[in-house]
Amino acid sequence: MNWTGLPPVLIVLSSLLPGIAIFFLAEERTRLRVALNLGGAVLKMALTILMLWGVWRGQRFEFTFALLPGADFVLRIDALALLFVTLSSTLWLVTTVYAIGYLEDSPNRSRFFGFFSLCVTATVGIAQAGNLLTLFLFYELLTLSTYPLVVHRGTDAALDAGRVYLAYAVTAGAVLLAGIAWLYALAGPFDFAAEGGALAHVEREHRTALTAIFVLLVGGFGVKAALVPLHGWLPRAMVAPAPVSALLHAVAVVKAGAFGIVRVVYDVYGQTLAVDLGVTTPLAALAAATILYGSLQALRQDDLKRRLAYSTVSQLSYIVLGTALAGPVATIGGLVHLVHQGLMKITLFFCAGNLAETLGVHKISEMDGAGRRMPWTMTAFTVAALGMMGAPPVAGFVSEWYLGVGALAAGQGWALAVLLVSSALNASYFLPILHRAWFVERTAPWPHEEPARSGRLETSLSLLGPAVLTAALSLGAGLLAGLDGSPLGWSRFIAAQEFPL
Amino acid sequence: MTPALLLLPVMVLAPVAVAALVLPARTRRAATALAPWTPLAALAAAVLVPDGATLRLPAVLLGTTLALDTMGRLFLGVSALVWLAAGAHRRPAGGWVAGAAEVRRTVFFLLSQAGSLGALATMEPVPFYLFFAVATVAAYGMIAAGATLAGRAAGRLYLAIALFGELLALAAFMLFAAGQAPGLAAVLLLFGLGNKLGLLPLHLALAPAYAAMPAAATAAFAGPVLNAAVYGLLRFLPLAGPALPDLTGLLVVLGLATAFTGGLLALLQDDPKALLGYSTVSQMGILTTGLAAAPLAPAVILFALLHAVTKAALVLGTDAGRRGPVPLAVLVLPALSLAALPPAGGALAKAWLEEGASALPEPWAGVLHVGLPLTSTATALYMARFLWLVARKAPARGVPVAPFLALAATALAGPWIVAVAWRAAADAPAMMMAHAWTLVWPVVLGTVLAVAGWRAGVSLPRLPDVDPDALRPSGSTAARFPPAIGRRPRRAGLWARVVAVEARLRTQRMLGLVFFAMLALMAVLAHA
Repeated sequence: MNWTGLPPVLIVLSSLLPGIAIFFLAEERTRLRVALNLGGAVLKMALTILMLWGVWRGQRFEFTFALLPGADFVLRIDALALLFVTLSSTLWLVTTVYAIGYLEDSPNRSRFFGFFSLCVTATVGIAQAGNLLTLFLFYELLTLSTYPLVVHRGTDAALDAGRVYLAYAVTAGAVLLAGIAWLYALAGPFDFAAEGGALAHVEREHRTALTAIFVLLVGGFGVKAALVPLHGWLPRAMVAPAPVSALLHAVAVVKAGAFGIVRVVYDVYGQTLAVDLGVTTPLAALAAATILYGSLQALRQDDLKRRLAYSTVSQLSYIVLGTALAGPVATIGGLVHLVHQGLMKITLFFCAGNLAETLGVHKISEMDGAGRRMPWTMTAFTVAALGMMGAPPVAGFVSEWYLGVGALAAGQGWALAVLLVSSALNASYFLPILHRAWFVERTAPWPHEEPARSGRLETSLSLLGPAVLTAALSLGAGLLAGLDGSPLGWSRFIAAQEFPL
Repeated sequence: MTPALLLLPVMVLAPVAVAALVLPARTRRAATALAPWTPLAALAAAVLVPDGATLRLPAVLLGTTLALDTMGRLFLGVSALVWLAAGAHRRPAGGWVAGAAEVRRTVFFLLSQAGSLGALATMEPVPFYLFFAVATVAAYGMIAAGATLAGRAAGRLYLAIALFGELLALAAFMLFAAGQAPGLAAVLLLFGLGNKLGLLPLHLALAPAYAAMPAAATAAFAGPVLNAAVYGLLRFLPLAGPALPDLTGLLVVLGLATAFTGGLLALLQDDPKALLGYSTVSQMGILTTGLAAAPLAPAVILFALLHAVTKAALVLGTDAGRRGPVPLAVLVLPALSLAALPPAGGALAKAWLEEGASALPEPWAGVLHVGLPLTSTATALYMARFLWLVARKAPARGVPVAPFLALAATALAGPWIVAVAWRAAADAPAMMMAHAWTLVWPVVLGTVLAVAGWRAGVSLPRLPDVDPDALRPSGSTAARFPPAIGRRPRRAGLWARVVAVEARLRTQRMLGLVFFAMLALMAVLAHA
């Protein structure tokens, strides 16, 4: 093994080791815990930036280790992996800062941050997994490490949400394992391969089996990706604390599901085989149904976090739709939305958390006049919400443009109609919130104003800073999309490898 | 690259920066004082940026190029002038120590300025869409800023229609980008941008919006924001091409229908600003007929520029006209220009449109030959009512007059300057002489009718305000189930019917139906 195997392992260890150490820390050793948390996050960021530079120059990094005879454990950094790693490690750093501020003086912080680190470890593992088996191992680790976070508060509602989450996730894991085992039996062990997929050697008479396996794999990943009707756990899980919601909705969990589907379509089957099997059109239809269903449900919620959760259900399927439309332009749209959705949605959850922590506001009907009381929070919220609607120059517009033009280029104009209807629905559930916050005068006192949070700023800096930063990133990713280093630039780079001209 | 090119980004960023400075209390006073002057950069750009010079910003959005050609320059210059006048008009009235509503107004005034000016400096769809969207959304802020019930209702109505339009425009631009279905894309764009012009049936929001805003904001909305949409239509609508279905009939019929409906509804207003809103609908209907013939683009440009200045002058005149008999008398001049009475500037543009209409195939040339002069009769009629409404208002002191006078002078003299300076418009005066009779008689007829109607004491039904609950899902039962048109007594006549239809269309249910009907029609068109 030469040195190029080292970075993938280091990226995993940079959160795994601090996480393990934190478990053994006494509750009151706050400063050491913060140092470990932030140190790991900053180290991971630094490694990621190095890797971006290397991969852009054509370098590949791979670590292989024989787990069982014929079953390798492979960590590999390619362009697609880095898209996800960069997103996770950036947002992990931001979320860690936010969580430290959010959980100030609350109990069980060592447990919380320990699992928090494990969760991110699993996520970068999923991103860097070089084959389905490795991906599966980290995918299960993710399930196990997020469960304690969901139930962190220990209330009945939290335990209930945790039970539902576990039931969905463990079943999905079993389905996924079945699919992987069947595929290994059929095709033998193989690694992911860009440019046409890894199943070129499989005999064409196995069409039915390949189709069935595809359904199993997408079903397994579809639970975390919250594809309708497998989405039920996600809106319930919103009882978790705000940093966990950010983790679920933007950094790790749902992204892992969507990323799994992307890997299966591009690097396992390859788009040619997937189209040939006729599985992409049903997948696109399922994504479209999810997009519309999620938005329609979001429209009905008064609880802010529930509305945001259903919005995630809807937005996440943009990624799946882009993947399933099977064309270079739509692919760029789907990939770039993996990042854009994360940036915008984490902003929205941070802001929801700020409102809840500072003013006790949980419901949209309580938000009258929030803009005047918390201008920075609501500005960040506004930027992200406009992005969700697809309004330029926020990042969401870039996703929508590529998905729409990609749909047309792939001869699937109906998907454009779905996207536009979804934009209209997004407008109808986000604009009333903005109107309340900015245009309606406050007449009643706030539900539960937290005096400890108010100082010179509208709330604690550690809560405000992350929200403003991610909002700025959402704006920057759209406004400066033309840069090579933007999420769009990187997605084009990936698509150029999946669709070599 | 010439340094003058930097004026293009500066003219967009300056209002945004000032808007950002209006927000913190510490810088509010200075920023508010600075706010009226931000359009100077745009004015300078319109004069100084040379033709053919382009500023490439590949990093911005999907790659952005800023540049001006003759059309962009003309639009930009006029928009900057109207923004300056509007800013000067609002300055003393705003006051320094502003309340929340006034701060909102200033911020959205500046943001929509940035959008409406930026849109004129790009020839690419994506940046145009960005700027246009900024202007659209910021205009909502101007309408709803006041937090009065009527303002909010008007804002909701406007926003529903404007967002529908944005989505149509986005679909159109995507179709253009993918190189598919150019005919469908053209129709999508026509309504996507045309809702700002008040094209039927998307005309509903204009008049309530005009009425809800203070005069300065209305002037900006009626001039530059509207013209950003006209610019977009002229720039991106593929008016001729082998792959296109013939849109001539659609544009002529839609244009004339919009012109007469707007004229009719303008007559039913009690609020002079609301009247001007329907007047815009009417005038933009006339403009739309001009889109039917590609060679008429210069005439359409002249018409749009002139309309922006004239309409802005009339809007400011609703304030300034209350200062005494002299401003009121001056107000008659832009009113006559709007009715295209020679030798006022409006006659130049109208004559050009009438001349160009003869080039269209029959029956459309004939239809326009009859229809266009009659639109002037309608204009004369509702302008007479407008002057009467303004004259009836209580006199006011302290309202600025200078911006109004400046715009009125520009409206009257500007077209002649353009006719002299712009080679494409050189023939307009000759056309005006040739069409003198068809320009004069409609205005005379309209004036005679107006006087006769006034002497005979004809009373017109009044169009009710937008129901504040009409656009809420949980609105009042009356709003959700408006009175059926058919149940009215038979003698109710044209006026009452028009009023009933218009009021009914403004409810959520009917508006939704309108949207779906339009989409269905376009879907049919897509497969035709």
